[in-house]
Order: sequence, then structure tokens, then C-alpha cells
Amino acid sequence: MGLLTELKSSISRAASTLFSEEDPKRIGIYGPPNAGKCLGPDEKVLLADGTHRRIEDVYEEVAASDPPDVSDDPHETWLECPADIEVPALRSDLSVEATPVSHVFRQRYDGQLYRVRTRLGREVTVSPEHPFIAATANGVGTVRADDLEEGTRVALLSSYTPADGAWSSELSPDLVSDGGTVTYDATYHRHNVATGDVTWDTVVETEPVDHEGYIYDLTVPEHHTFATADGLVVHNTTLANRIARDWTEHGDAVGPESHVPHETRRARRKENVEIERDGKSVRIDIVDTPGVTTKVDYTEFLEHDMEKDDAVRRSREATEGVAEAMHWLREDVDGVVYVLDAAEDPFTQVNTMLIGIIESQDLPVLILANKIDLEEASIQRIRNAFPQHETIPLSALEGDNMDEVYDKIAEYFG
Amino acid sequence: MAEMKQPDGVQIDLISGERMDGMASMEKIRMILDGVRDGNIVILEEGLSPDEESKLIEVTMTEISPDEFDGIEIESYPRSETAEASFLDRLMGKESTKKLTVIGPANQIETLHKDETLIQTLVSRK
Repeated sequence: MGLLTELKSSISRAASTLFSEEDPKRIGIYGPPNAGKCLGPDEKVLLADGTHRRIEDVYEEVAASDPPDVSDDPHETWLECPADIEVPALRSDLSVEATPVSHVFRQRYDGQLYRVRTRLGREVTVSPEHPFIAATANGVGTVRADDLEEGTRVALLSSYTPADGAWSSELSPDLVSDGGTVTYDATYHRHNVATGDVTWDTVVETEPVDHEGYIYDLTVPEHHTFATADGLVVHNTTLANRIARDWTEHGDAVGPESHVPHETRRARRKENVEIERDGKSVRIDIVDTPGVTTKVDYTEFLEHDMEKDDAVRRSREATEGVAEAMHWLREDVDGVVYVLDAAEDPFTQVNTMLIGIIESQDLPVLILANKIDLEEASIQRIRNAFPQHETIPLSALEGDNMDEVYDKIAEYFG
Repeated sequence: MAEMKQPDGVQIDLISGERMDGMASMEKIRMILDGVRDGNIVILEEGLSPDEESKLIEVTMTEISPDEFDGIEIESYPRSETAEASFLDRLMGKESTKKLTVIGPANQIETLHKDETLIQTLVSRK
């Protein structure tokens, strides 16, 4: 056994030197389908000019301009945003910066949402997975709505200066304009000390509410946060794109481009992503594939406000995306990053088949056990399921352990 | 396959490894999908190779059609051999992928339970 392990590792080392020069390696990101993180349709989003809009209206406005849809799941619509929609985004140093929204996101969802209330009277309804920015014993990080507890301290914007200083009558009622700076209601400061542009409010209640209909989200590149009209800061995220985002200069998401003309727009790739590791620079192409499945039933999308044509179109896109992903796996990738949800059972037929297919192609594969921030996550369960491969735990959402992920990707595919 | 379908029954095709041995990959996939699209349950004594599985998924995706065909449900035993053994097998040039595999129409077959030694499925009439 020791000998075989040895042999295996020397072969994988040989494999990595085989493709260490010249052309960037094409790395496919594969995995089963995933769930989204969203806000209810009536939630109001604070815009960079100090006004606020319902998130559904922001989405509809973008949708009206017929932009490219880059979603990789038929339940979702993920539209490219015109450059002029900007929101105040919270940076990691807790200062606020007006940032363009790159994408708007909509997903059909029938199930429970969480209505979160704070001591200062803020209220927002979000999907269970939607993260807030919270101050915890471990510092400032993200906490999912369903993990919020009474007393969790969540970030509120305390002040914000719009870029052009232009005001409109739609100014959020919770904002007080004072010269060029908007300040939220001063009662904040009686309770909490502001840090940067943020003050910390306290969760007093989270209440599950039934929802049937669409839910929405925004993609805010780089800072990955935006705020509701009354200043509550929420995180944004798009899972598979984190890797590309972290590695590219502008943090942009894997774009809607397809490498094959006339091919489906569902194929997304990011070329020449450069990772620097230990002074060595590694160039790879990232191919982001939709969740692989063996069945697609359009009637699942046929909900009260989705027309049949739309549902059929989306299911067709999904099938094209999966077919293309399978084709690439056989013909066109040099390595695979297989992303699994650590909170889910890894012993599914799709996972077993895909890992088998990847192995039969002799492709280097790195398994990422994502969502380790969830209580029910088990990295060991995934290691047990695929003991022949290295499993790296991470939380793409929280950015946990991303350094090791990049080290390993550079090691495996560099 | 012989036409033996009962008016209100579910046809099950049990296909031996021997029968599959003489077929090209695309022939196997065609045979499976033709059977499944007719509403049959196809049971393969020795399953498909990983390459054939990926082609099966790809072809299935291209054939999915609204109100006509929703795709397939496929189940096989999870691999029981250890990583080392299968690696050794690959070194020896033999891929030990022989595993009983059940394939059926997605809207008629539902997996109730699966572990390394047992697959339980519920098959419904269309």
C-alpha cells in the first residue's frame, strides 16, 4: 500500500510537470447543483446616490434591457448589469465605497425565508443561507441568516457620502442628509460605537416565514456586500466564481463568453487566470460548468409567473450546459476542481459517476469540500467517500481556507 | 428487444454483460435510451464504463424534450474496491467497472435506498 501511494504521488508529480510550461491549463470546475442566497422581492436596496429601490424593481429594470443571462441553473436568472447601477458596498476595512453592481440574480423559491429584526428596528427577509456581516468573538465575518441568534451583532452603515452628492426626494427615510454626507438616524450612536462607516446593531428576532415566488440578489464585485434601504449590510456571493474572482485583477466573475462560437452561453470560462504562489506564477483557464444531473423537468420551472416558453427555454439551456460540461470533461480539460457541498451526502450517483469519469480520464482532481461554515458539514464524510483524492475544506462564502485551496490548485495544476 | 410490453405493466430489460460486450459504446447508449424512452427499466448486469457513462449523460441531455422525455434515473452500487486496488487495476490495464446498473425514465423511477450492497427503487407506471 505504501508503495502504491508512493507510486501514485510520483505519477501525479510527473503529471504536473507534464503540463507545467507554456499554455495555461484548462481547469474545469464541476459539481452537483447548488442553492442560492437571496433576499425577498420587497426588500429595499440602498443605491449609491442615497436613494433606495425594491430589489425586484432593480432586477426588472435590468431585465427590461434584455442583457445576457449567465446563470448556470435553470431555476435561476443571472443577468449582466449595465454599468450605471451602483450601491454603497462595505469594504473589508469597514469603510464604504460606491461600487457598480455586476449582475442581478433571481431564483424561484418555495420554502422558508427568515425575517430578521434588530434592536434598532431594522428588518429584512432573506433566504436561510443569506449571510450578514457580523462582529463575532473571532472578529468581523459572515453569519448565515439561519445561524443568527438573539444578540448577534450585525453591521449597519452609519454614514455614507454619495459620489456626486446628488440628492433626490427618494432618499431613504432613515438617512439624514448633512452637507455631502448622509448619516443614519443618530440613535445608533447612543447604543454603539461606530467603527469606520459601520455601527453594530443587535439581532433581536429571527422568524421563519413561508415564501412562494421569486427571491433576488445582487452581485457586487470585489467587496461583495450591499445594504438595505435602512442600512443593514448583507453579503452577496456567487459560489463557483469565487476562485476566478480572487485571482483576477478586477475580481470580475467568470463571464458569459463561450469558447465555441454558436455554443450555449451557459458555458462560462475565464482565460489566463494568474495565481501567484511562492513567487511562482501559474496561469490557468477556468471553465465553470453547471451542476451535473441526469434529468431536467421543465415543469419544475413552470410556476405561476413563469411562462411555459420561458420554462422550456431554461430547461433547454440547462441540458445544453450539462451536455457541454460532459463533452469538455472528455475532450477539453486538463484538470478538475470538484466542488461538493460538505453538508450534503457525497454518496450520490452523480458524484460517484463523475469522479469515476474524471479518474478514467486520468485528470488531476482536487476535491473541494465547500460550506464548512455549516453546522452539519462533514469533511470526513467526503474524505471517506473519495479516499483516493485529496479533499480540501473551504467556505467559499466566508473565504475560509482559500489560501490552502490556491496552494493546492497551484500544486496540482501549476 | 422483443415487444412484450403488457398494456398496463412496466417492462424490465435485463441485459447481460455478454450481450453488451459485443456492442460499441454508442450502440449501448442507443439501446439504453431507446428502452428508457419507451418507458422500460433497463438493468445492466455489468454496467457501463466511465467514458460510456459520460456519453450517456451527454446524449440524455441532448434528447430531453418538454412533455416528452425528462431524462433518466441511474443507480449503481458505489464502488467498493479501494482506491489502491482500482489504481492497480488501471495499471494492469483492466478497469473494474463491472457493477449492476439500473436505468429508467426519470419520471417513473425513484430511488428509495442505496448503499454498497443494496439498491431499492420504486417504479411507477406512467
